[in-house]
Amino acid sequence: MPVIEVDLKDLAQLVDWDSDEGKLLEILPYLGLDIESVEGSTVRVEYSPNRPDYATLYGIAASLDGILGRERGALRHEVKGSDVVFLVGEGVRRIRPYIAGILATGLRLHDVEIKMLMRLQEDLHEGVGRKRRKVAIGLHDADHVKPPIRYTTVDGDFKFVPLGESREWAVEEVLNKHPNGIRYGAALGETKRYPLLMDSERKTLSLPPIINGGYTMLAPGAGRILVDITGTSLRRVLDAASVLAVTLAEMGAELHSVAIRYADIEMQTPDLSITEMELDPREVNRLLGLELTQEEIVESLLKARLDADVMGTKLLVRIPRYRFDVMHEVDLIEEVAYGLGYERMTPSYDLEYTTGELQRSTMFKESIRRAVIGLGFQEVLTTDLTSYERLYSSMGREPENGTLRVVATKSSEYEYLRDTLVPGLLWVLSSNTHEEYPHRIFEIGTVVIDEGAGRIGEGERLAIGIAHSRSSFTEVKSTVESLFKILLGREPDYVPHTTRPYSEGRAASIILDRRNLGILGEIHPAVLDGLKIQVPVAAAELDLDALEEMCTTVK
Amino acid sequence: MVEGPLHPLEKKVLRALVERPGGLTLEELAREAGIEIDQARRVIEWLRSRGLLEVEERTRLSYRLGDNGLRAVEEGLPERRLLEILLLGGGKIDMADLVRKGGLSKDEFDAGIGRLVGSGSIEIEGRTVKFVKDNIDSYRYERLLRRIGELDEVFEEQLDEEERAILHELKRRSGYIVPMKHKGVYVRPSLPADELKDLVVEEGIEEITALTPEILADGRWRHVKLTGIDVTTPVPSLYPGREHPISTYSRMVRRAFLSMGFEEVCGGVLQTSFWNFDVLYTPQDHPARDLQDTFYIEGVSLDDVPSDIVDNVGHTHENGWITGSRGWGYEWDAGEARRILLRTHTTVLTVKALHALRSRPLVKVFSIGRVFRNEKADAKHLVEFHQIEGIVKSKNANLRQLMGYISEFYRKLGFTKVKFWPTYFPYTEPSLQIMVHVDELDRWLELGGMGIFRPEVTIPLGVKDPVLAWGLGLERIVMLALGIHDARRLYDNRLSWLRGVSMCQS
Repeated sequence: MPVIEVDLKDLAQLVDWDSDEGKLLEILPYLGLDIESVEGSTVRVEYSPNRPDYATLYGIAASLDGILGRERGALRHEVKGSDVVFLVGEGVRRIRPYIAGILATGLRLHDVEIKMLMRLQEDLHEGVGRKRRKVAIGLHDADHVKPPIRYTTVDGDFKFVPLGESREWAVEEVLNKHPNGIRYGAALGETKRYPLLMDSERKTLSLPPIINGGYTMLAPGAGRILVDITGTSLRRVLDAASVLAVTLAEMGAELHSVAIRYADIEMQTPDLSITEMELDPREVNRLLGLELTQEEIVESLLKARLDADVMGTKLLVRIPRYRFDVMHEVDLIEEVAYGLGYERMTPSYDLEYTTGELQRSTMFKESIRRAVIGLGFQEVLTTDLTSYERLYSSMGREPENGTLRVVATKSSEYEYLRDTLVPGLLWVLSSNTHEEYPHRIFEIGTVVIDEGAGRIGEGERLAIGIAHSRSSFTEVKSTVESLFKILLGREPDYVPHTTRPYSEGRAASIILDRRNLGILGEIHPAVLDGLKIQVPVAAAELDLDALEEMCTTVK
Repeated sequence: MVEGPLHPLEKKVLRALVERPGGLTLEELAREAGIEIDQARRVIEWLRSRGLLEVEERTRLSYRLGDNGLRAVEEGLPERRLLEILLLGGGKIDMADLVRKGGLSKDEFDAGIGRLVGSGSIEIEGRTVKFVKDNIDSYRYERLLRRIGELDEVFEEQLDEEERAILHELKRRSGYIVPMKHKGVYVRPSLPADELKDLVVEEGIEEITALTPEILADGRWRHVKLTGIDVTTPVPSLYPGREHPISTYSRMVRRAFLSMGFEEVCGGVLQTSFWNFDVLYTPQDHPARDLQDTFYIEGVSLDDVPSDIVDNVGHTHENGWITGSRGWGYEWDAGEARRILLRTHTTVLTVKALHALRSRPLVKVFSIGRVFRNEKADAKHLVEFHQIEGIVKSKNANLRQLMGYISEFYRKLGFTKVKFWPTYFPYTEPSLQIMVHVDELDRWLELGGMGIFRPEVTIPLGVKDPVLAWGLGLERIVMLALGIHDARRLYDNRLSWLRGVSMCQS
């Protein structure tokens, strides 16, 4: 979740808060903002990714004004015309077809405000823009730009001075060597031509979505800002433009439209249109469990900075463009709850009666756990994902039907899905060699079963491990046998069977009613040596799914 | 054999001799029996005439502890002490450290090291001493030293054959054993000890240290006295079979759900993206679906994308379908939905149950299971952890009722103060985070999330009624209850921790 730093004094000033600023900290959580930390008057606030307007103080102040009852209804901003035009060339269509622009005037930007705008820009890049793939934004000092501006494509050898650089770079060079190019180059996909914004004097505004040009850099004192928003999704481009426009207006700017001229069509941006949505008050009360009047609902929506009117038995809600997180009636119902205040909603204990039930497999595993604990074993829990070394090489095992491996793990410790539990237990024994012996441990867990032909299954297993100076095949066999007596009142048969990590001639399959239910035996000394275990170890692994089935049929 | 009853003084003298088959001097005997020398002389004559005593002149050997012996009784033999220091140090220690921590004289240190090397218990590589195996048999030596210490002085006849062999060994180590010669007139019994005992037994007089099956069987317990025990003496630890704390708390959570009438659902850790993400209205370009966050497995498939709902879900993503939503507005890819992953939340299980049970008017189900995130594990994040999830489907379900379920459920987990703060989840609306007050910390902590499933989730599954949902991490609860600050502790399987964690810590 994104985080911003807010200065409580600035926030208090924006909402005309005249009592203790610290009290604001108790209100912010009811806007859906989490206080991460407080240092002096600086608060780190975590906000939801569906509210990019909270990336600046202004967005938070607008909502705070609402629930404090100082301002009601939707934010309204006029967009005046301008003669700034973005001419869109044919070439961008296959690479990055959409663009919007905003001209904001009447500002005198301080360093703090520039930082805030960049913070918002970054948030939009990450969230709405999906790491710049869907949307990227360029902020320019409009006084350094000569319209009309062409949104066109260039070859890799086209040269310009990137932002923060002192010489000309070729586009290819930016993509291969500049940190921004390396980081965001992939967002362009496969292409030989690159999108570029240049003004009428062929000065480069930006190479979207990689980097801006240096000529149009925004510096403190700037009064007129030109914003370009490019992307691969028109809806997202306009989403981002609306949040930027509203924030600039709240900062005190006068908004002017930018005409986007394609070969055959022209549109004005930013789009700050209003969407109307019907809301049924009965639905509000049904979902929230309240009995609000139409007027109370309208009042709550106004406090949530939306506009609403009663229209017969329904309400008509008007949603400003930047609130594109509202996509369904339920989103409006949540806005009612915000406006009303969650702190005023009380739990209802009118709960409905049903009978509870556990899964049969849960109860079976509980029985197994009780039985094995009764035999003196300590339960351990290892992870389903493990490393090749732990699962195979240290065990002297070869993957029989191939391995199940996750893609792109961040740690090789969590890479292979276990197909048996015993290796995990042996590693537990290995990490506990300084603990007092005897060690008798067990695990109940899930393993994957490669069923071949790309099909996979899962199974529940029990594994036990016994380690002390006199542990032996006999002891593990006694343990397994008493477990069978507890569960089924029967004794299984044992058929010699050798596989790693067990010793040749000292392991067996456990068979009952011609079903193979598991394996037991002594662990091979080479495996113990590799794990630095200095006492003999005997182990067993049982198929709990098969056992559960047999237990069920016994009754 | 004995004519007539024994005189009490005779019994006293014989009792003094029971434990001293090698005999005592007249003076010793008088002292041990607690009688005057003159009396002793007389009684000895009586007993001689009964044929119960012999008197002879000879030399006897006895042993007392030397300085090193006394110290070994207190602190163990040097080789034992050195080995313990080594094990405490993790089986590996620098020689200089060992010298310092050992606090032994040079001779003692050298002798101790010599014995450890000789027995193959340690290896020395350069300046490093490494533990190999506990091969020294010091306990029998220490036991004998203790016995001599307790008796202050021991006579050779009091030792059995094995003890004599050990004594012989100890005598070769300087300062452990001081032998002494006693020359004089000795009185010694002419009967074996047990026969002598039978003669002098009196109710409640003979003291034994432990009951034996024989003593119980032959009724002697009626005539003996069990010695008192130092009840403060430390005893060996026991390590019984125990369950992992995660199992303990899973059961507690299951019990809470059961008592509220919830039914358990289970399912695989391998799931399709369809159920894990698409059904939950998570757009296909959502960052949570990146390889960066989620474990995918390639080259395998699951037959688990039901044809009756796949189009509903796809259309809902694209344009909202009939759910009343605008949708996400992108082209949904059915192939992407078929990718296999390790489930990232247990909501995948409850939402599947919701679909399977869609014709039931009232559904209350829960699940507890492992989930997987492609992260670097640290004190606060685990790659694998357990999630707890509950849902309620009912035509009467609403947000205040959800608050009621939550308050009741958390009360059963031990959290009596609960409040709710709004938040955002992609598949619920409204969405709230659950804040609980932890009295020990005097703080409100976020402990779970809840909300009402979006219609974009429920309607494609054929579910029209509201569905309340909540979820939380099991490990957080266990950590709070056990006062653990590093989540990795729960899965490092250190036996000392697992054996020592107390059941009532919560």
